[in-house]
This record gives sequence, structure tokens and C-alpha cells, in this order.
Amino acid sequence: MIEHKIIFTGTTGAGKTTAIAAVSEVPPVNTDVRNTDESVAKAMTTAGMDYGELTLSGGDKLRLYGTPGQQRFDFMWQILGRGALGLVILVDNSRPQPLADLDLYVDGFARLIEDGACVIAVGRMQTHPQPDLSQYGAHLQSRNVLCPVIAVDVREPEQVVQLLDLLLLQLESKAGEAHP
Amino acid sequence: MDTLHRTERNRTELSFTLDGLGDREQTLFKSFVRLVDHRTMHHWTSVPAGGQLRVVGPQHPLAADKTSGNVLVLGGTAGARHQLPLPIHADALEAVLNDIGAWLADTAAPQHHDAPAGLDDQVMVRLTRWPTPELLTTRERIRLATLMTGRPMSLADASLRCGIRREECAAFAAALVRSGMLVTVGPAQAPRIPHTAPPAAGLIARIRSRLGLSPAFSGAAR
Repeated sequence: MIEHKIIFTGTTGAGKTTAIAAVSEVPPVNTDVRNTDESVAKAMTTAGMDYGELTLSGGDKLRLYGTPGQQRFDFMWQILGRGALGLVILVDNSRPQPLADLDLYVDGFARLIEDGACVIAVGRMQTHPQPDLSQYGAHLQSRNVLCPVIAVDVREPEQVVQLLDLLLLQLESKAGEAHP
Repeated sequence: MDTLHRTERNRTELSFTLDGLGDREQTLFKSFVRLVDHRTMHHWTSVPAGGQLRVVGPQHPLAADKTSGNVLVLGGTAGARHQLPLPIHADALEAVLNDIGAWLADTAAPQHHDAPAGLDDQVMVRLTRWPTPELLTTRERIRLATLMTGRPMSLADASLRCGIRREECAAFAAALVRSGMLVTVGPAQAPRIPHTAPPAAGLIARIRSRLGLSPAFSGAAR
């Protein structure tokens, strides 16, 4: 059995656990504890990481890992990102500085973004439309990063699947470079 | 042809006129348009007459017109190009308004269904940034742009890989070039050597199958 992985990252409350749960064939395993951070309006928060999986034909596994969102766990990002197919960065547009949040993960996963695939999914845009997607695109251009940026509601499984569709498209495009 | 006005948020301003609808349907439609305004690619306002979009009921003479891109049939009817079934769903309204808005934008702008001047469809092109939402008006365009983020490619290759007609690829590329988001690259540009090996052949197809996604590449240029 060969194992493959896709990483979901983003700030606390951005929707990593929800996104993995939307597509995992098993109930996601997570290491939730009671949230003591009063600035985040949720009862539980992930102290370790989320895990979900999909079984592919032939028995191979596609493992879905949700990184802990807090920067103090960034050492785990390098470990989890090693050998991953791609990365989904979930951004919570209701936070005070979403673009600064984005920069944290763009920097933390720079190698994976360069070699693999990356899709940026911006949540809560219905209630918090700024910054808009055009600003995200311009910001990424200033960082010399080129990847899809879309608005998404991870509570909708279909939207999470569409996210992964774009991730796979990028991989296919890059694979076409390696295997013309 | 009406000029497409830009709002201060850089969204194109478009207008619609309700024609032959009852008071309840008019109020309902206007309310929903306001509700989805923050989601639509264009800013839609209601005008008493002469709107760029005519919203009609299923009994209206225009309802059976299969070709008009600027007619929306509220209540839906088989054969209409643009229709919105009742009850109105916000997602459906957003999608149809974006579709119609894109059509209006394309018909207002000079038509460049061929490759942009000086841009042969065999020439390699690359995105300079992720396109703005105004250009990503369809799911096909989002997928095509995503494909372009992976590596420089020709329009012919992009069309083949996405299964999108070359004319549609060319129209999208033309819009990107006009906006400065697509440039040509030299044919001698060496491919970047990645730090990691590419995914094994067949893996991505198996993941697609498991997720219920159709194959990315139809392999047929239309």
C-alpha cells in the first residue's frame, strides 16, 4: 500500500477540521481540547492535528492532514509537508489581517508550494468581503506566488471537492511539464 | 451599445429591467439581487426601462427565445437560454447573473475570438498573477486559469487539456492580455527542475475517481 497526503493549513477557526470532515471516508481523528482563547469564538480547538483519509483503487491511501493553526506549532508544518502532494491554505476573512495570516503559511510552506500544488481558499467572504479576491491575487503577485484563490464555504462538501479539483489540476499541469 | 460603467470597487455596473412581472415577483427578484450583490461579479441595479438585462416571466414572448443572451426568464421554461426557476435560490441567481454579466461584457468589448494580435495559439504563455474575479466568470475559466498556474503553456495545449474550445480559450486569453495578466514566454525557456518527483502516473486519476470528479482532460480539442 502506498500512502499519499494533502495538507490543510490555516489559522484557528479557518475551517481545517470541517474541510477534512467534508471529504474523509472516516470520521476525522483530531486532538481537540477546550478552547481557552477568548478571541476565537469556538468551544473546541485543535491542539495537535486533524486526520482524515480516502482509500483509492488499488488500496493506496490518500491521507488528509490538518496542521495546527498556531504558529508555535510551525515545526510540525515542515514535517507534515514533506512529501505531500499539495496544500490547501484556508484563510478566515473575518480576522483582522487575513493577508498577514496568508503570508505566514506561504512562508511556512514555501517549498511545498513551489514543488507541489497549492490552492488558497478564503472563507467568510459573505459577511466579510474585504479584502476581496482581487486583492489576494495582487498580494500573492507581490510575493511572487501564483496559485488559485477562491472563495469557499467549507461547510459545503461540494465546495471542498471543487477545491481539491483545482489542486489536482495544478498537479496535472506540473506533471505535464515533467512528462510532456 | 451601452458603456459598461465601473463602480468604485472596480466592478462593472449593469442594469436590469423587469418586464411583465407581478409586483410580488418584482419585489422578490430585486431583493435577491441585493442579497447576492456582494457575491456577484458585477453590480446590478434595477431601472424602469432600457436595462441591459430584461427579466421576464415564462409567458412573455421573449421567454421562448433560445438565443438572447440578455433575457432572463423568471420561473423558467424549457429552451430559454437563461432561466431562473422558482423559488429563487441565491446560488442559482448568482450563477446566472455572472453568466449574463460575462456575456454582456464580451458583447460590449471588441470581439477577439481569435488569438490576440501577435499571440499565436502555439506560443507559450504564462500568467503573471491569479486573474481578478471579473475575468473568472465561469467554472471553466477558473479551471483553465488553474491549469495555467502550473507551468507556461500554449493556448492550443490549454484547450486540449481542459477540453475547452479554442475560441473560448482565446477569448479568455485576450481578456487576460488586455488586463496585463498574461504574457508570452521565450520558447527556449528551460523547464524548472523541481525538488521532488512528480506524482506517479495514474495517481491523480485515481484520486479524481475517488472524489467523484470527472477526468481533467477530455483530450479532445473542440
